[in-house]
Amino acid sequence: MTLLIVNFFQTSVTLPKWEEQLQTLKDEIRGKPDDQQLLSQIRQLDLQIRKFRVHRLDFSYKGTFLLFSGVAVLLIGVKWAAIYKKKMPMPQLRSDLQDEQTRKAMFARLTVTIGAVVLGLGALSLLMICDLRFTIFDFQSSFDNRKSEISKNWPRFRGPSGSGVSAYTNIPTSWNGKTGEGILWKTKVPLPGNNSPVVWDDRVFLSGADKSNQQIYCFDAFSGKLLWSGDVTRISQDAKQAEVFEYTGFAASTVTTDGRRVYAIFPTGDVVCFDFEGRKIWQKNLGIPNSAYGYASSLEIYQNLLLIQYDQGEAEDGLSKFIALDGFSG
Amino acid sequence: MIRLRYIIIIIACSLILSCVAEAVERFPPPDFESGCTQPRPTTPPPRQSIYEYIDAVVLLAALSLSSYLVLKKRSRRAIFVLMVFSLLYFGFWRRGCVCPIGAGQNIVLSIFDRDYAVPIVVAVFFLLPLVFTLFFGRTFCAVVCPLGAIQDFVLLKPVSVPNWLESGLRLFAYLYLGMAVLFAATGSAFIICRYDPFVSFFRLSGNFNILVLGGCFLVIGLFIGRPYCRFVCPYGVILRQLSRLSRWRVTITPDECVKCRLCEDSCPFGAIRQPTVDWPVHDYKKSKMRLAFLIILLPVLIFLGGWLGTGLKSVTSRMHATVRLAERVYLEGTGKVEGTTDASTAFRATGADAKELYKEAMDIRARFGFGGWLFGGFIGLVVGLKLIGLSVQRQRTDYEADRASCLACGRCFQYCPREHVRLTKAKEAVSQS
Repeated sequence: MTLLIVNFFQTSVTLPKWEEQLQTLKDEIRGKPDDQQLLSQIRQLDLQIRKFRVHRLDFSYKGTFLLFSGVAVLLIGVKWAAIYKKKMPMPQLRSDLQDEQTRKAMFARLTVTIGAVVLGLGALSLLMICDLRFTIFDFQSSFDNRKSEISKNWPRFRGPSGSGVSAYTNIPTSWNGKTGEGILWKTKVPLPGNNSPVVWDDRVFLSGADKSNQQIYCFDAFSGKLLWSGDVTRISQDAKQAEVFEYTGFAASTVTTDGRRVYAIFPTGDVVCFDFEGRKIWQKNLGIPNSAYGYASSLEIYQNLLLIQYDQGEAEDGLSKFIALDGFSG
Repeated sequence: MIRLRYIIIIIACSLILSCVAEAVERFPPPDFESGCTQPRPTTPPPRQSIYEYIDAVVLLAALSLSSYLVLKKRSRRAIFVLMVFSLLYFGFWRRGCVCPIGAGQNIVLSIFDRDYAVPIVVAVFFLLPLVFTLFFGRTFCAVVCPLGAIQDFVLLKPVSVPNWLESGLRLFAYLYLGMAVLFAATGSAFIICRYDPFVSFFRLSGNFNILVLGGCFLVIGLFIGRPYCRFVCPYGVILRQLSRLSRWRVTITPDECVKCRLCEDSCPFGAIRQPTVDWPVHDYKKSKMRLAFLIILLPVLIFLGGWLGTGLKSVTSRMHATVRLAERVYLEGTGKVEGTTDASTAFRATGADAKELYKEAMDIRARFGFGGWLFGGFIGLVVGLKLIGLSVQRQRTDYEADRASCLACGRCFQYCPREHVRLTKAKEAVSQS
C-alpha cells in the first residue's frame, strides 16, 4: 500500500513538472524552428516522460491487482473469523409499541415529503436559470452593436472600414529603429510576409509564408511574445503554378478578424480560419489565382461574411470574382 | 473490537487507494518520432457469439440454483459460495457486461427507435431475472448480481438505517430509473452503464470519478448493507414491485413463527417487518382523513411532476449530443462564449447549415418535453403512492421478510430456532437412513 502511495505521489509531482518543461520547450521552438539542438532536447524529454508513464502505469496496475487480492483474502478471513465470534442476539424489552409504530410511519412520511419538496424546488430553480432558446441570429443588429468594438481595434488592412483612420488620438507618431523611440518590442516573424499587422484587444495577427510553408501568427500586443502559430496546409501541391513576383512574396494579403476568429488568404488560393486560441476552424482552396505579380488582395469582413476580391487574369478573361464565404463554416 | 476497527480502516484505505492508483491517466500519443518502430494497430477479433449464449445459460443456471438454495435448501453458506462465483464470473470474468441492470436501457431504446434491434442475449439477460423474481422473489439480487455480490462481500459491520431514512433515500432509485428510461428512450445516453460504480473495479480500469464513486460505495458498504442496491439500483425498483407478486418467497421461519424476536436485528438490509399492534384509537379518524387527502393529492402530484418534468426539457435534453452541439454552435455564433470545441469545429468543417442543426435540436427538445411529462408524472405517482403506502395501517402477526425489500440473502435463517429444529430433524433423518 505504501509503495502505491509513493508511486501515486511520484507520478503526480514529477510528471506535471516535466510536462511543463516540455511545453516551455515546445513554445520556444515555435520561434526557432531550425534549432536542431532544441528539437533533440524536446525529443529526449518526450521519450523520458513516456517511459516514466509506462513504468508507473505498469507498477500501479500490478500493485492494485495485488492490493485487491489482499483485500479479498482479508475480507474472507475476517468473515470466517466472525462466524466463530458471533454473539447470540438478546432482544431488549420495548415499552410502547403502539407509539413507536405511529412515530415511525410519521417520520417516514415526513422524509418522503421533504425529499419530494427538495426535488421539486431543485427542478424549479433549474427551470428558471437554464433555458436557452435558439432564436435565429440577427447578424445585422449584432454587427451594428459591434461597430464601436470594431472601431476600437484594427481588424483589417488599413484599419476599420479600410479608411486608415484610428479611433485613438494618443498613439505615437514617430519611430526610430536605432534609438528605440516609439518601439515597445521587436520579435522575429518565423516566415516572411509583406502583409500588415491586424490588432484585436491584446493580440496582433500576421501571416507568413515561403514556397513550401504557410502560417498564421498571434503575438501578445504588450510583450511581442508569440502566443501561437497555425500551420496552413498547402492544398495544391503544385508549387510552380503558385510562383509569385519576388517583391510580392507568398504572404502579401493582410489577414482580417471579427474579434472571434482570424482569416487569411495566400497566393496558393488557400483560405483559412483560426479561432483566437489557434485552432483551425476550416480551410479551403479557391484554386491558384492566375496573377502575374502574385495574389495580394486583403480580406474584409461584413456581418458573418468573409469577402474576397479574387482578382486574376486580364479584364477580358473574365476570371476575376467577388466571393463571400460564411465566416463560421467557410 | 479494536482489532475490527483497524481491519475496517485498512480495508477502507486499500479500496480508496486502489481507486486512485488505478485511475492514473493514460499516456498520450508521442509528439515526436523517437526512433522506435511503432507497432501496427491491430483490431482484436470480436468475442465469439457462442460465449454470449454460454453467459445466458450460466445466468439461467445461477438463477435456478440460487432459487433452490434460497427457498429449498435455505443455506446461507451455499448462497455465499454461489454469490462469490457470480462475482467472479459475471463481475471479474465477464467484466460486468452484459448486466440485467443496464440491459433495460437497450430494451427501452428498441421500443422508441425502430432502427435499433436488441440482441437476443441482452433481452434474455433483462427478462430472465424478472421471470424468476415473479416466481421466487429477488433471488437474482441475492446471488447472481455481481454489483450486489461485491457489496455483500465487503459488508463487515452492518449498521441499521432507520426506516424513515430508508423511505426517503429510496426515492432516488425511482428518480434514477425514470432518468435512465428518459435518456435511453430519446437515444441520449445509457446512464446506468455510464455511471455504473463497480464496473471499473471489475475491469481494473476506468474513469477516475467513477472509480472514486465506486470506492465510496464500497467504503459505505462496509457498514451499510448494499447501499447501491437499496437506494440507487433502478433494476431493483422493478424487481421490488415484481417481488410483491411472487408466487414463492423467502420466509424467516421454515414453518411457524414463535415470535422469539431473535431474528429482529438479523437483516443488514432492514427488510424484516415486525408484527404490528393495534393502531391507537384516537389516531384512527385522523389516519382516515390523511389517507383521503393523500388519495386526492395523488393526481395533483402527478400533474405537478409532469409540469416540472416537461419544463426541464432544456436541461434534460442536454444529455443528447446533438442538443449540446447546437447550443455550443449557437453560443459561439452569438458571441456568448469564446473559443470553439472540437465538436463545433468538426461541425463547421462539414459545411452543414446551423439552422438545420437548431431545428433538429428543437425536435429533440420537444421529444424531451413529452418524455418529461411522463418522467415527472411517474415521480409524482411514486411520491404519492409512497405517502399513501405509509398511511395505510397494515396487520402482521408474525415476523416477516418484507416482500419488496428482502434481498433473499438468507442471513436470517440461522437466527430462527425453528430452522435449527428443522436442520436437526433433517440430520437425524439422514443418519437413520
